[in-house]
Amino acid sequence: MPPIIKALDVVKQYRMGDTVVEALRGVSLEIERGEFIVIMGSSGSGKSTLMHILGCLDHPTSGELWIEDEDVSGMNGGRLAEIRNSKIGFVFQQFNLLSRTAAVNNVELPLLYAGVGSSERKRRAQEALEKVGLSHRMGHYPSQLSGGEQQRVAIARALINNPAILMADEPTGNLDTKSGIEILAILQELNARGISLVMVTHEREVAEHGDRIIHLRDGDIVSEEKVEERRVAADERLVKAEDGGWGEQ
Amino acid sequence: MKLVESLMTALRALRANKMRSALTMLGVIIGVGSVILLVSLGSGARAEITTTIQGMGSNLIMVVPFKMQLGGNMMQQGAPQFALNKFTMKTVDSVGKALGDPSRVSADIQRSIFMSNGDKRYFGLINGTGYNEFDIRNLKTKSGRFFTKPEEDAGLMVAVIGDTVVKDLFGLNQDPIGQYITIKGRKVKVIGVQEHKGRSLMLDQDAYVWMPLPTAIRLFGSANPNFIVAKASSTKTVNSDAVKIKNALAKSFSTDEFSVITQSDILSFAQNITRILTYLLGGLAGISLLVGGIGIMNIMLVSVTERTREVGIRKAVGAKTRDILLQFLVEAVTLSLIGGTIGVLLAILGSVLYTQIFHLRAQVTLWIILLAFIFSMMVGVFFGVYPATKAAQLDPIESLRYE
Repeated sequence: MPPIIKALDVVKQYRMGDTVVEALRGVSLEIERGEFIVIMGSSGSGKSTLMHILGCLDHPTSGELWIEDEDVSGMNGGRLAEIRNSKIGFVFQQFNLLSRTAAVNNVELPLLYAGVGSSERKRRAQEALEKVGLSHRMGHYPSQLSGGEQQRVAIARALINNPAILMADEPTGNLDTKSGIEILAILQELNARGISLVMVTHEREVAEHGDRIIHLRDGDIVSEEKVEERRVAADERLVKAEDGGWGEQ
Repeated sequence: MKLVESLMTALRALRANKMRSALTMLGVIIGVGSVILLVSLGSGARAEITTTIQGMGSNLIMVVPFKMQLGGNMMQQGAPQFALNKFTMKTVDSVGKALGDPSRVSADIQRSIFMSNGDKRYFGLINGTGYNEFDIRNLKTKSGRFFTKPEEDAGLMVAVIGDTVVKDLFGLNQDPIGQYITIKGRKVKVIGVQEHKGRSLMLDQDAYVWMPLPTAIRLFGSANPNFIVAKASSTKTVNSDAVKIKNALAKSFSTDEFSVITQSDILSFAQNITRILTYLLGGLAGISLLVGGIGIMNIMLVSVTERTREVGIRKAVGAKTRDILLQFLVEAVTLSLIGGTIGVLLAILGSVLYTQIFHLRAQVTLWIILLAFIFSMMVGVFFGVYPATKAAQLDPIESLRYE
């Protein structure tokens, strides 16, 4: 089986006025099916840019990117939108739910663009919300939900189209410790069920919930490590709630 | 994404911003409403003028003692010069000779004057005419009768009056036949009542008093007809009869001193005027529709900026450029169509009120409704394309970062 994502010498340059900023300087990376990869780095290291490119939100300036067995580096915007729609789910730090739109309508959004009919969408959105434990919050608007609940809605939305891989950009960054652990527990559970995950974070303790950590600095991979003893969010719930948070916070 | 889904999304977005949507629509409502209303008033006026002129009878030929140019260059149209009225009873005779039948010709001497019946007073227009006036003008009496040729020749003090005169001088339930009205201190016997004509062109067609021509000459001391009416023997001979009259009068008058006008001259002149009026009104209203469209564009541009993040989210989960374009375009068109529908309804309501209050006709025709509707939809598309394109071309990452 081919890797779920393969990046070959990916370069990303931005033009800022007259100067060219190189956000990624030739990153090569393979993500196997079922892996939980964590990209770490300080701000400005290019970790978000890398995730955007891996998630087909952005084009690499040069290099190759393969999703499953398709070369997506030369694809136009429309084809990329289809790839995002069918193969990739996104979870953001800011949750990025549509305001003034009920949870269930937020969740069904990817299906809308996949051309799935209305009743089928509703059914699957309800199922997805049940999976993240929010069946009692279907009709609520984002403003009526807590941060943890909003992030769970976002996860339900990311999962609704059965994507091959889930991209999470600082998914616990805007959450309190308890909700953060809950979200990590959900991600680990999804991973256990076979979904590949790419998570971006700058916190060591959050990163240790994954299988493999890739360290990025100034647009280059500087090191890669296998996590020897993976943290298990489900076991941390009680402990962490008491001692008050991740090391740095 | 299907169009129905786009429509649902658009409606949801418009509902989320009720006040803003309503205010945006207002421009289109006023635009479409005024286009339909004003054009309807214009074509209503045209229809009314047309029926009024046609009611004069298609065989009617009018001869007036001044130069009157209908059609052609309207700038040359001078004011009618009554002071130079050179028509006399001889003129009436020569018109009769030209047609070869004096019974088809009648002269009119008109004066506005006070008349009374006891303490009831009435100010109205007296028409001194020939016995054949009603026949020429397509008028009838509803009770009593018109005066005869012997009565005319004898210059009897008799009159045929309209409903408004009856109402003001005798009261609604009075039979005026056989009673007297006082004009310039002389008693005049009412012998007939003119058939009811109602108002037309803002003028009361029932406010006239008809008297034999010699009686009017005696009362007013003038023997210069204000105009002469003649009847062609058939619709086909109207033009040739008009030419005959023109040639006959050209012998004794210069071209500045008379004009011969047929019903179709007046009709095409009036229709030209009202057509210009209608286009003018429609054009003015069209400008307000244009302003309404710019309002839509304005709001849509604000809306696109405000919803940058929404566009980013939608793109992240798989919306294509086309989907976003369609979403915002459908929103703009929905705004303009709902506005257009309300505008149509208000215009219909307005024209009903107009008819009720001013007793003037307003013609709301299907084609003007369709036209305004299609135009408002085009306004939506035209002014929606730019904001929608702007939204669709937003970069997903940039817009996700947008605060």
